[in-house]
Amino acid sequence: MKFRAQLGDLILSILAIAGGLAILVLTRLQGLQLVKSGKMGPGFFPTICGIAIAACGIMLLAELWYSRKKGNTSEDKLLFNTNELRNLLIFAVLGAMVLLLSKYLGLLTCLGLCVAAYLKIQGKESWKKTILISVCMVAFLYAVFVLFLHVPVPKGPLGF
Amino acid sequence: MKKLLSIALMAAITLSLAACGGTPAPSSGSTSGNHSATSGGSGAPSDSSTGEPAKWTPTKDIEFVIPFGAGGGNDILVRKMIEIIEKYDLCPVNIVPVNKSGGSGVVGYTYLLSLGAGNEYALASTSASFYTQPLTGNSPYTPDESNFSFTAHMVKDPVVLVANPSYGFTNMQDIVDYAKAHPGELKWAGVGNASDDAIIMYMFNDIAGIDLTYVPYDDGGLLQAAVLGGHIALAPVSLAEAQEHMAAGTMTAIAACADERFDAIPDVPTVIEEGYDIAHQQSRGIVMNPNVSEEVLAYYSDLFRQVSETTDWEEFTTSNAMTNSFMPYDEFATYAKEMLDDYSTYLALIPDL
Amino acid sequence: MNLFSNLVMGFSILTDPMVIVYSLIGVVCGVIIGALPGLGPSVGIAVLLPMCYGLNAVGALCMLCGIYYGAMYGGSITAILINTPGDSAAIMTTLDGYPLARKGQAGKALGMSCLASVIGGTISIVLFMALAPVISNFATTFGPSEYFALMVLGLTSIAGMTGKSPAKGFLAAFLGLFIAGIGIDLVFGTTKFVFGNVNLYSGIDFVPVAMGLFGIAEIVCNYEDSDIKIDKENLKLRKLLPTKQEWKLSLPHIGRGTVLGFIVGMLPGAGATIASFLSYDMAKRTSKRGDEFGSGVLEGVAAPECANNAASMGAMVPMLTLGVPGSGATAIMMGALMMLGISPGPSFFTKNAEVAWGLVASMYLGNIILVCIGLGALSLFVRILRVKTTTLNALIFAFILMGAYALENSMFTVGVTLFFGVLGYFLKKVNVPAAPMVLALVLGALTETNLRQALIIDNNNFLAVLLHPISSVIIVIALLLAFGTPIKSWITTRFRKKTA
Repeated sequence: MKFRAQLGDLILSILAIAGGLAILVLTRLQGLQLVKSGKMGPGFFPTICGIAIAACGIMLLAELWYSRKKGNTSEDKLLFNTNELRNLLIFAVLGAMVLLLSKYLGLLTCLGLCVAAYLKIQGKESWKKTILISVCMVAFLYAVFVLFLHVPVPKGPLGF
Repeated sequence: MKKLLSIALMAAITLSLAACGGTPAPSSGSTSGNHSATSGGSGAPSDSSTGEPAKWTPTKDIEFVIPFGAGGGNDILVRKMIEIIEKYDLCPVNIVPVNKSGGSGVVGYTYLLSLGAGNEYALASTSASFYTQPLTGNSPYTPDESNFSFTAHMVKDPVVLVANPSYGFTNMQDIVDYAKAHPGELKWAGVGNASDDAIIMYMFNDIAGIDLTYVPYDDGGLLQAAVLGGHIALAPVSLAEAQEHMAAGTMTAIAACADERFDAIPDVPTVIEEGYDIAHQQSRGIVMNPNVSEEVLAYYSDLFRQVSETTDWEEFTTSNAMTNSFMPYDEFATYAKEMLDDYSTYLALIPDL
Repeated sequence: MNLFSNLVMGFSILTDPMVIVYSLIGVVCGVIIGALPGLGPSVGIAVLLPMCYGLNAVGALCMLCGIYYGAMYGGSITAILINTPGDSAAIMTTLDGYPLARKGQAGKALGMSCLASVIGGTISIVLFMALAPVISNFATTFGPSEYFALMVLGLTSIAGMTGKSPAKGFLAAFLGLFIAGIGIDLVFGTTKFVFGNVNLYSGIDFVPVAMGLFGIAEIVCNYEDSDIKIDKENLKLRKLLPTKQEWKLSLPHIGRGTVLGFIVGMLPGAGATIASFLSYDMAKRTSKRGDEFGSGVLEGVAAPECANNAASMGAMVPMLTLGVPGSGATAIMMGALMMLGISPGPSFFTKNAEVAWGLVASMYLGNIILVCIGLGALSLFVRILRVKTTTLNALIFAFILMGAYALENSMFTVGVTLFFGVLGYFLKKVNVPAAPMVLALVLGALTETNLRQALIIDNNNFLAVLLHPISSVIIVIALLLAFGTPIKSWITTRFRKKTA
């Protein structure tokens, strides 16, 4: 099945309705009242948001239904292509790596590895260029953030 | 890196030499004269504690966790302490300030605890939310000796109660009279919902039998603007913030919520003098992880005693209208226990928590 | 000619070469920090504060102000070049700035942003001089109910950003509003949607969200070498400056945006962000080619940029004359001033005349420095776009994550950025606009806080909150802006039907 824009809108509207209802349920579960001791309670805004998000979902369904009825499929183009999803996946994996490993390897080391990995996989650069760019970048980040701005970054075994 | 290391090494050597020579007094001309008079009579340590210098000395960089954002009151305080330590070479290693803001300090203290019990190279500064957040059920720790080692108490942060001049209040009795005639009408603004500002108001309500309404703000600047514009009648603010307005007549000082009258505004009585027993003040100290040996605590305690005795520190606290009230680690631990008890009694006064 | 003699005194202070050097250092540092994704004026001033210790008051103040407006301008560089707003005031700049860059007109967008900033800044200095000693009380006329009305006005500008599908725009806005509510409740202290995570106690900041939704989502979509061709020929300064025709279109918006920005900036708490939103909205409504806004129109860059600079100047008024800081950045500046032994307040201009007028003079100087740096480095900035897309993507990714970490020195914000990056990609794919979400996130917390404070002050009477004189005027304006166009078209169609 091809993933087309109208299918995307359908899923979005269903997610919005489900999300809106989930917010309402969570507000109840966390005991956030609409009104508390005569004042506007902590649950007031979340409740409005929950209702509004669900309502937007319904509106979206209506818009979709309307455009379907009009037979307007000219804008129904493919949403995703594999190259883009591959790019997303690479960034997601690299990001997860930074989150998990920077505690052990140091944040700057991890970011350097990230840049190197991306350059090699997506940019298909030569090793020489890859290493050169990543090392320069780490040095620049170190100079700006650590030496100049004194940001306390998680340090790795190499001392930065 | 090498350069830093060598500087640290040099500093260590000079310091150890200085330590051998006796008390590591501030090297500049300003002596660490006896300022116990300014320390609010809270028992500044006598010289006897320096008679047995701490045996433990740090050998690597110390992390000073500031559980609040850069530029805030707590941040300025800590950075000033570090500046003084560096200026007088009081410590052989670097002390690195680390801001971990969020959740009224909860994020910072949680981070401190994550560094592990017995960690000798991590400090954190405290303020009111150190006690109040756990009491309102918003933190994974309790502020007692099972979770923290109390290292040194530095200052108290007294406030002054101000009113918008359009109400014509000059003393606390005026407020009580007006509030009795117009119940629920007078608004009192403060920062946060379970803060010192709120505690003072609810204590006042309780003692005077009146009904002031509390309006929480999350920003001191907006609070001040609200009082100036007459949207809010009363607020406790720090003297440093409000002094200019008192002089210009755009804010009326009613009473000082402090142990003694402020030097800068000697005509304004304290709340206690006005007949209301509200002696509550924010206190700021330094804590460490639990299970730190007594030698280590004694070292840091002594380090910050030296800070508190410099003229720089005195100038800083005076210009920020704080009370210099140093307490060594053992005294601070007892004091913190009292504070916690006090806070739990006071917070019980606040409805809707 | 009191003003004139004061100004002469101010400029005589500038003859001290060190003051010029401090101003220069401040502006350069500010531009660099502002250009780093995630770091805005408040972070910049906070981390560079130690540099000011030991300086005299005028020097320190000049440097801090330099950092302030340097960072204000720097934020627009990343907004235009890589779609990542450096601070909330630059969000609106991405809307037209980035499309312009994609069209190969990055230089023009940057040049316009720089010039608009400087024009806005310079006009504001004049306003500042003329008004600061007189109308400082304007800031205090705004209480919670007035702020609530102002936030509502800000939120109505979302309606102009929804694009083709209003449902999607409002969905994004309410999502932002919901995210703004996460954290500890201000009034009752209860935790809202925190799930035991201490990092969520203080809520989710908009900066990591904006970096994820705009920046990360953009580099995910943008994986192929772009077709942006920048010829050597186009890098010449003359080509980078707006043409006469473009000036003609932009100048009215710059004028209006500056005055609006200055007024909004004077209100503590509202500040540059709301000023830029309102100015963009106003430009879009009044421009002849309002429909083209969002697709890369130069006025769409000029209007928010002049407004946010004017607002940052306006914010100095309550800070210096009332001691009431209007934004994070001015709060830190005030802390610095007090450390230097100057207490801002009602008597600032009389007591510290030398510092005050020296500051005004240094602002003129700072703006000149800003325009030199901005235009001088223009071709350098534009060259960034000639870097191979994959290389640029990798570097942007690393910079965004580093900036996210530096915001709160926490890996948690890095996680938030990545989460919103992935979310932003999918939202982009289904055409849900990101700007309303970030706008609602910025305004949402302020709206809720002020409404609830106003309700407490007015004894929980909602009508009383709306009936404050200033609030009611603002609310009426907001309603007219939100429903004016549909009502007008409804009336005209009705009328036409009748005549037909």
